[in-house]
Amino acid sequence: MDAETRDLFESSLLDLAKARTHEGPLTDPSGQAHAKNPFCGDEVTVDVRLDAATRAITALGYEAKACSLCVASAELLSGWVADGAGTVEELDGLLAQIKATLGADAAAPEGFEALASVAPFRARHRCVTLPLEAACEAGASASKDE
Amino acid sequence: MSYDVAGIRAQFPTLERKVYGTKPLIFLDSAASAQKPLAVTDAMTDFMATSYSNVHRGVHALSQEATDAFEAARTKVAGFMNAEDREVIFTKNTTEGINLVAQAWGRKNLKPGDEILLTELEHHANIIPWQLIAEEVGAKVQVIAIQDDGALDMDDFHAKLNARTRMVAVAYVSNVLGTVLPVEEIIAAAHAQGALVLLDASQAVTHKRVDVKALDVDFLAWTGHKLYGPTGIGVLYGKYDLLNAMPPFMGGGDMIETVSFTGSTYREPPFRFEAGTPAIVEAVGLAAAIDWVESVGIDAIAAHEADLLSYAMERLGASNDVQIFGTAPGKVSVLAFLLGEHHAHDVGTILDRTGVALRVGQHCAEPLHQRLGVHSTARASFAAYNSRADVDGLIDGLAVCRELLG
Repeated sequence: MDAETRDLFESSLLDLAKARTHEGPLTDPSGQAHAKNPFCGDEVTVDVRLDAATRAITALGYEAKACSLCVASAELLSGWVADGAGTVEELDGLLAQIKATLGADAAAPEGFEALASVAPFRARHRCVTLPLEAACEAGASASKDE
Repeated sequence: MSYDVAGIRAQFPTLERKVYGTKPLIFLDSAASAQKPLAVTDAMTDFMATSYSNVHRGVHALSQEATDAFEAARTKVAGFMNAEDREVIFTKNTTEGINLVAQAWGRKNLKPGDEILLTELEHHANIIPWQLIAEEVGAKVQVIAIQDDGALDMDDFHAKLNARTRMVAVAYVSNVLGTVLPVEEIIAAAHAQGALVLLDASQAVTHKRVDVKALDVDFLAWTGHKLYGPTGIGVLYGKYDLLNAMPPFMGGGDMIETVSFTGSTYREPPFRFEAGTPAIVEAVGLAAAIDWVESVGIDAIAAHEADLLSYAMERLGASNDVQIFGTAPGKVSVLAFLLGEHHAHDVGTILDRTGVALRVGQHCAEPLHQRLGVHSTARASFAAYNSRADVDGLIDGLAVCRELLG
């Protein structure tokens, strides 16, 4: 098997997807969004809770009926939030940075290095971005409701 | 005479190429779209190089030649499914054919409370057009259940068919399960209730001879690109009296008799339903594709595919970790499966890197996957040019999947 495929499937992504450590909805989220990839049918729902004063994301939960790369991406995102993460605006920036990583135009953000192995697999890029897109939308909906 | 798969493969240059540098292509995605033989690409190239012009509207020599070629293609298609020329409408694809019937026939004939009967195994192309028209006119979509093996639940069909049923729109062959529906029984029962029948024959025409007169079907839609022809050309068959009673689907050039700002009149079928410049080159390509299929023989192709399906089911079935979807008797060479607990996309990505091209996801059949209780499947489909070596390649590729996915 070629090196790119081995890099992808021997990365930490599969283990993250199998563990699904952070999966589960939030009780009383500030915002929620559902994203679906009609190409493959993968679906993810993301809940966020915001600090009203700072707009920092204080908690994130997700539920996914999706492939390993999508779940792994949601797990990395959950870890980013658990580690202190940032604001809704910084989440938007994170998505842009990860899209650039997948396009091989930028290094992966800290903590998301494993996603670089997805870059050669163009048909799988949306698998990775789907939970981030949902999270951004959830963050935006929470901001509107404030 | 034995089936010369090597000779057939030699007519498909794509099958000789490699992917990812060194991997010979194993193309198992013909249910999505088939590869094209040289006979088709040559016919289209020759036509564009020598005889191309618009059709039905010029007095010059080229226009006449192009019109002759275009109408000869219609005759070829009509003969292929035992229809009359005037019953053959060229569309863009199966989807357009079904939408045409749903809109042109449905708007005129469906009323609030009328029922449209579909099945759980339909492609979205035979669901959405009916949902749209049902919502518009106040009709109701009813759904016939399938059994666990993928066969249609005929008890459920007969229970749901009633005097309110105006249209039974079903797949002839499932694009996921390969199930061949008992369309003769469906058509007879529907007609006895006064309902019409539309068959989505997209997956049928590639695997079996379709005879619209013997079936007594009212409408039948299919597409050229799955029959080794080009994209952009499909076929809608309709009984002439039904077509002639239908209003236009789209308006524009070529479908009119007279046009004035006080009112316009429309041509007879099939031209009434072919507004604008049609897919001329593609029609020529489709005719060449039919010639190619007939030269090999649709029955010979079907027998070859049945052998491949049997071999593939035997080899895949020998593995405890492979779940096959669709085991109804008489199914055609479409094989949906899952490998263990692994997501079909991960399996498809790895198989791709071994050279095996197949489809993963929901195959435009989300309700069917809900019924099967799975999120997605991998689908291998076998065509005239596939060989047992291709099946072996799939099995070898799955071994790599097991190694990498654990």
